[in-house]
Amino acid sequence: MMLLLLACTETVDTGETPPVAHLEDPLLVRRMSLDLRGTWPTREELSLEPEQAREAFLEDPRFEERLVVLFGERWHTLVDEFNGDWYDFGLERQQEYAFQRAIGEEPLRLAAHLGATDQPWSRLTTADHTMANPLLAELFPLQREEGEGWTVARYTDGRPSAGVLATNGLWWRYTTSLFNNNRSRVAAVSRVLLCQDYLERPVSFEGVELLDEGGTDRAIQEEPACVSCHSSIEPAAAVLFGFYTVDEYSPLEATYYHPEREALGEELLGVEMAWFGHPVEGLEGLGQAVAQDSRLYSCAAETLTEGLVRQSGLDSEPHRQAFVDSGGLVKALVRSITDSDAYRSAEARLLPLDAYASAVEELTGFRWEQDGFDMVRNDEVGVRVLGGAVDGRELLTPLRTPSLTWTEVTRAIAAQAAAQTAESDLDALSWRVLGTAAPDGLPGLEALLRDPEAVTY
Amino acid sequence: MLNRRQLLFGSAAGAAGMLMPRGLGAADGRRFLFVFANGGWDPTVVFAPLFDNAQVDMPEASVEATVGGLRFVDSANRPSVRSFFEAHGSRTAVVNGIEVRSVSHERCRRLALTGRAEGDADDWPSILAGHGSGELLLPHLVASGPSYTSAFSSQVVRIGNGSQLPDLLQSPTDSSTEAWLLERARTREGELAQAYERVLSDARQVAELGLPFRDDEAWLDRVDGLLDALEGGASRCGLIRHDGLWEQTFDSHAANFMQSEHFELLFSDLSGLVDAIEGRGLELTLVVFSEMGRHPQLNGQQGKHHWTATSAMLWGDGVAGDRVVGGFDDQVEGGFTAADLGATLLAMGDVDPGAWTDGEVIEELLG
Repeated sequence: MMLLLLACTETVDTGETPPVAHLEDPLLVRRMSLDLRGTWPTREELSLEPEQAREAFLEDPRFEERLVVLFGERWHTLVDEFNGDWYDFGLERQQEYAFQRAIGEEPLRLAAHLGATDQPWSRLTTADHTMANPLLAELFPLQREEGEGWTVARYTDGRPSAGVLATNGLWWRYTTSLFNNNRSRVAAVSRVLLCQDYLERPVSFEGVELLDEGGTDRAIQEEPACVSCHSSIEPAAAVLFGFYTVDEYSPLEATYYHPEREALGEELLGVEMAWFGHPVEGLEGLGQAVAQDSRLYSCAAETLTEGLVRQSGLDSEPHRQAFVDSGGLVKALVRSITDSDAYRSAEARLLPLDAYASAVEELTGFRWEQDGFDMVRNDEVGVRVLGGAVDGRELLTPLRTPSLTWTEVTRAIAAQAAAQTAESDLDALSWRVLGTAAPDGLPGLEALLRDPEAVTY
Repeated sequence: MLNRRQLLFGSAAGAAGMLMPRGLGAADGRRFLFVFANGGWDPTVVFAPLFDNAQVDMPEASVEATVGGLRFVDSANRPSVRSFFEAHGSRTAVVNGIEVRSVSHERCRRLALTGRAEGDADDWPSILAGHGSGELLLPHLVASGPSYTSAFSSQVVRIGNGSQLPDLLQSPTDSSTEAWLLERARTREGELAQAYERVLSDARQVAELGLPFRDDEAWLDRVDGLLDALEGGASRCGLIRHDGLWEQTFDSHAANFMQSEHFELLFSDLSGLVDAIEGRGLELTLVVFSEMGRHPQLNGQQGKHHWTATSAMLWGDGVAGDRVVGGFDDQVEGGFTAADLGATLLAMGDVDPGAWTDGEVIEELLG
């Protein structure tokens, strides 16, 4: 193991900064391995042509896991708290994290599955199924296909086919209230799937008599400043009333789809169902309309460009074009992004926490868990935010440069991985060598896992 | 004998020389402590005596009262409010009528702290921390609550919802490993390597100092840890969330009478906080705020929905106290924006507001 690490380190440690702006091939392979599989490459893989290595990485089962993380950075469904909790379902306390994670991952798993299995992106909002692991199938009315981990599953409560728009996971994260009438859910869909954030638009209340009874409703329909947003929000919100709950804190209500409430939307909001001016019929119609919205594809391109290049505000248009040209295949999108100058830039980047943790686990077998919690993937007891990842509620942009808490998190991971490796596999002498630093000055495993070369890519 | 604070941050003059953290005594700008009342408080319960406005449902068993230059809403149910103003009013300013122009928690939190709706803005404490001495170990220390950063991400140090950071710092790494890592970082080029070298060094210092935060502590004990960092010169800004009674938050869509309970606890805690600050002889600016206000009228569940105009309260260093600034018009709308308050805080911190916000400094607040 140590030889492998040193080999990687030696290969990576090229001394002078290359005169060219692009990474050298082995370093590019290393970057792609971390981005697409969440692990450092083997020595053999380092000698492959980057494009050859990339194709192998795209077929690796771990690619699907990485897509969950990458889309999660925008979708913000991987939160620590929902209105329902583990005890509502008779689970053990040790299952708290698994419960939270299963619900938050559901929509992301569908996106990742479509991407990893070469299905068109249009299925994101039209698929007749979701994804479920055994726990999720236990919680929700789901019929799950046989297999380990996350498999295709279908709801049995009569909900329409609308891909992620028909998942409990999305609507458990983005709730509504009796007064909000699904408006916030439309805003969430717009931000998550279209990269259009209503909340970033300028708001003017000039001329709006907010205190008058009915003044707000009139303004939504008549005031130009209000109409510009609400003319598209209300008609889409009207479609989502199958997920409307009388008691937003009732897990039972939020578990099941309510077809009998579908008609409430048009009545309560006083509009007809539509998606940005195009009339739709029910949730299935909404899913189809979203699937035909060009912004669904530009947003996926923007999300993965930002996630893979680790930079905001980049031009993702060429990648969107490649994505669309391929018929909406995520792998084509990833190829386009990883071919770009921005991706191949020699400038070092900070390794995202999730990729760092999975790479260490792959190398050493160490996974940091406590009382059933994955410590790098939650904030209730874990260190996700301290390590620079988003929490989906208060911290929404991943860390790009090292911070004090980030270095403490990587230290904790590396030290524990080194200790576990030494204790489980090696004798006392090796512990000295691998655990910390050896008497002759050789770096130990902890040091190697925290080497500037190991934590950047 | 040195107390915990002195041991941790070396604030005792004699001890400081032995273990002087980087930045100790070098917090050359005004220090700030932000208390975020989570959920959207109802200004009419304390800050806005709008008894003359028939469109406003005022809290029960409440009257308009005055302590010095502070007009407020008094009630026997909220004795801590009156006692706070009586004890600390001379250094307290209330700002009424701050418009966030939204009723979404997410957007209002961002607006309250950055003055902008866009996602690429830094919040006031991060900007202030980023304009500190440049030598602070924990420039903006977040015990809990929202934080928005763009240019100043590296200035923010989070304790963690469960005080995870102190736990992380408890198991020091072999010094030879740290030395090897520092050496490796120094041989690398680029900003990332330099940043890594800096945080390695900072982390070692913080680990040696320890951080006095425990997640099982009461709110006042947790905020005491922030005071340690501010007093010791490790931080310029701190942020902590206050969730009201039973951590229900101030988001009272139903049963708005709970606002009274939340404010009573908040002001009781603020009294303890100010006592602690004064007991240390510490000079700082306390900023107490909430992301939005509440609708003037009760709804069918005797609650109040969200409202675009809110209030804030400042106390301490640099604050022109004993006054209420601004107000609410007959439509219960305000004349200030969140950016105005932000600009004022930046000005108090000797940061050019114009470089960060289009808000206008509220001159009446500057002491």
